[in-house]
Amino acid sequence: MAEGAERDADAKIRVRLWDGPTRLIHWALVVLVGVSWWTHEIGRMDWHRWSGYTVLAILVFRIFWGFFGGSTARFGSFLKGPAAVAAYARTILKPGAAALPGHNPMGGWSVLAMLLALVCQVVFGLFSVDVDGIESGPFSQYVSFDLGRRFAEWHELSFNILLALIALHIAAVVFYLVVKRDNLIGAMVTGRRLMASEPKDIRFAPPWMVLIGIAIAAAIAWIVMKGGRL
Amino acid sequence: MKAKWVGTAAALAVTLAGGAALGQGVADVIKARQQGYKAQGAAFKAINDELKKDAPSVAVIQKSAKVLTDTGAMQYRWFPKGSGPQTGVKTAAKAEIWSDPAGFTAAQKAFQAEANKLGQAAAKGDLGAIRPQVGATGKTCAGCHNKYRVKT
Repeated sequence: MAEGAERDADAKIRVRLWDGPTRLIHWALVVLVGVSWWTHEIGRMDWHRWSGYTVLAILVFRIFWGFFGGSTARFGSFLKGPAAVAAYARTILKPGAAALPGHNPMGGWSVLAMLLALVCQVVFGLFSVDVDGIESGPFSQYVSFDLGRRFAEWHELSFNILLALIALHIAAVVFYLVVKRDNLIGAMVTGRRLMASEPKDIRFAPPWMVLIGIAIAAAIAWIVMKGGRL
Repeated sequence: MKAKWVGTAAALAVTLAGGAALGQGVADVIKARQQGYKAQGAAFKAINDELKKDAPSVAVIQKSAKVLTDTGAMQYRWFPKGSGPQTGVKTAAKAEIWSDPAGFTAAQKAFQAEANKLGQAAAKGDLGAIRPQVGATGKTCAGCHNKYRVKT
């Protein structure tokens, strides 16, 4: 066993998996989920809205990147059918199982679930109004006070769902680190991961694609911020 | 001995009946004030919604400001003794309302004063005066809620 591990360590090479935007998005969302929670706690709803608009822009960019970004960031590459998920689940506890480049079939759905929860979180927030009718999202003007209050309740509910998904995600990453001795956190920082061989089908998007994504994200966030008025 | 038992039972029955009647009354009192605050919240939202528009409707603002000045006058009757958190009826009202009546009344008066100023600004239809006064009125809501309302 020790012999095999040593040989593996010698043979492994550092492979570039995650492009810059994907990593930046990941860590920006980590920070902004914390900022959004904290600004609400201390009642700084002006900062809370800014945090939310930034999350919105990031989500728009991430969805764009899921179709036009690097191959490991694309939904089409990491969302697999139930058979692939079941097959991966069976190998998860086997020590010698080969590491996959990018999201594994279970992790891919976890990523999608977290993104969807964040989308719900932002959309509900846009229509929310506080109990005093003083603080509100930019779209609350299109709904009644009662409906705005319902959106605020959903905003809270979806935050709890998001927290549960984040807890699951962290538990999975810690499981890989401790049990499987596989550092996925470092890979999301550096973009590189030790692998047995160079994966074949990894492609990265051209830099100008980033600019198109930023332009779309900024435009949509701006319109939303203005309450849908141009 | 027997007379004493009868007396105790009768006293108990009266207490229970009275308690039930009071409990029903308290529930109504709490419900009424919650509806009052809900109307204030809706009125505040209506004013803020108008102010977000390119051409705010002064009529809508005036109507909503009237809800605030009306409830500003009514609110002193919303917190009779015994309608606090000890009743068992769900309420966000803190016990401090009754343990610090001077502070609470001052907070209510602060709201009424700012709401009345808002009503005057709305009556003039002066958006330049309405905007800052909405903020000033909102601050008196928050000022009271931070001390006397359970954070939800």
